[in-house]
Formats: sequence, structure tokens, C-alpha cells
Amino acid sequence: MVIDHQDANDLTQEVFLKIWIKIRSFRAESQLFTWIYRIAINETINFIKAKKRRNLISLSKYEYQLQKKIDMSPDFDGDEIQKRLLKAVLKIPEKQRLVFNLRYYQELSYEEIAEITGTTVGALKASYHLAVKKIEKFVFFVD
Amino acid sequence: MDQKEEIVKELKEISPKLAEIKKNDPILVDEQYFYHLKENILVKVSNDSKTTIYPTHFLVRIFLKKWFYSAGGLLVILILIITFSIFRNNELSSEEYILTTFDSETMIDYLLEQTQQNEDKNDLLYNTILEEDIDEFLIINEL
Repeated sequence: MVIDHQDANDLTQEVFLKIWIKIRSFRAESQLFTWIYRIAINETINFIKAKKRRNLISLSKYEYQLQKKIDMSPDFDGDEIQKRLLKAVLKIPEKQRLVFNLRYYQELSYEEIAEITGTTVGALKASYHLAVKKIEKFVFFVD
Repeated sequence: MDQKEEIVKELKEISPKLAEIKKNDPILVDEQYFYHLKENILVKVSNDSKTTIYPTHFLVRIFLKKWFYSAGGLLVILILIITFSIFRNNELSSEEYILTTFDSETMIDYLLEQTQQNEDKNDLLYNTILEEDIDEFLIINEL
């Protein structure tokens, strides 16, 4: 979601800190890993918002900066099509990107994603379908 | 069917082209990343524990919320306004209450007595003007 290594590092630390703080309020009503995912997602969304606020930039500009980062990053170790895929993921709306990442990269079931995001399975399936179609268009048909 | 296979099958149905892309995380992670992560998180947790106490009881947690103080301030202002308006109403009703303690005969006697006193005063004034031979137009002009 954040691409940058340093940002990912900061975020991971923040997420573990939040888990440490909130672990006593965990009621075991959901699975522990979905609870941790929920914290991670909330922290990531807040982190992106804060970063945009700090730098006084819009969402689209922030995502454009991330796409440029992919081009320049020495840590990128994929082929051209994987680079195009990663950049295409950054072009879709935040909610669809989240669903796509959880389904495609994290390989979670719709039920697990529903538990994390608080959305219905039907809505998630629709979001994923739309996300895949848009990404396909960006990767294969748009220069 | 295995969850992983199910996700691949679903992707093939939505976008066969996208399903052909080799799926792996193309961003390299430095070998020392997780070693330092553990250390950094422990430092953050220990710093956080030194400076902040996280209460477990929900009443104590409510007392620490910012909105609680705003709501408390508003409540105090509301109580002051209500108390002031009740006090004002009581003040008016106390005058009415005093009047109700006198019977009508006593009140008529009092008013007649006051009228008589005023008439006596006026008579005295007229007599003085006549006796002293004061020009009445001079008094009117002065007034």
C-alpha cells in the first residue's frame, strides 16, 4: 500500500505498538490474525492521510509519486509486467486496492476480508471484480 | 478446493491475462530488516510504557477522552443557565407571594391612607403658595 521501504518500516512498528496497546481489549470475537489485519489497515489508511496532509498533496498526486518510486526504487526486483501490475494497482481507488491486495497478494478468503474490512462478501466480490478489470486495462491496454 | 487454487480459478475467470502474470512480491527486503524491526519495536514499546499508562477499566478510559471534558463543560454551562432562570422565576413569584398574604380590606385601607396623605400634602402646598403669595406661573415655568 505504501511502496516506500522506510514508510513500510515505520508503519510496521506502529502496527505492533498498537497491537501491544490494544491486545487487552481483544475479545476473541474474531480471529486474532483478522484483528491484527484490521489494525494494520486502519494504521495504513491513517498513515497515508497524514502523509498527504503533511505534504499538502492530493491523493492522485501521492499515488503518482508512488508510481515514480517504483520506477526508481533499487529494491524493485520484478520484470516489466510485474512493474506495470504494481503501478496499475496504485491507479485504482483505495477501497478496491485494499480488496485486491488482500485477495491477490495475501490470498485471503472473502469471509476473512469481510471480517477485516466490515464489508459484506457480495460487496467485496464486486469490488474485486472491478479492481481486476481496471488493473487488466491499465496493464495490457493503456500506455 | 484449496483456497489458493480457488483464488487462481476466480482470477482466470475474470481476467485470464492477469492470471498468467507470475505472482510474487517484486520488492526486495533487506536481510537485516526483521532483526532491526524487533529491536525498534521493543524500544518503542518500552518508551511508550514509560510515558503512558493504558487503563483497562472503561470508566477510566472515558475520563481520559477529550470529548468527555467538552461535554462536561457544556453540562456545567447548561446547569448554570437553568439555575439562573429558576432563581429569576422564584424572585418574581416571591413578590406575588407577599401580595397574596394581605387580604383585600387591608390593601384598600392602605391605598386610601396613601391617597389621603397625598391630598394632605397637596393641601399644604396650596396653602403655602397662597400664604406666601407666590406667582404660580413662575413655578410652572421653573418646572
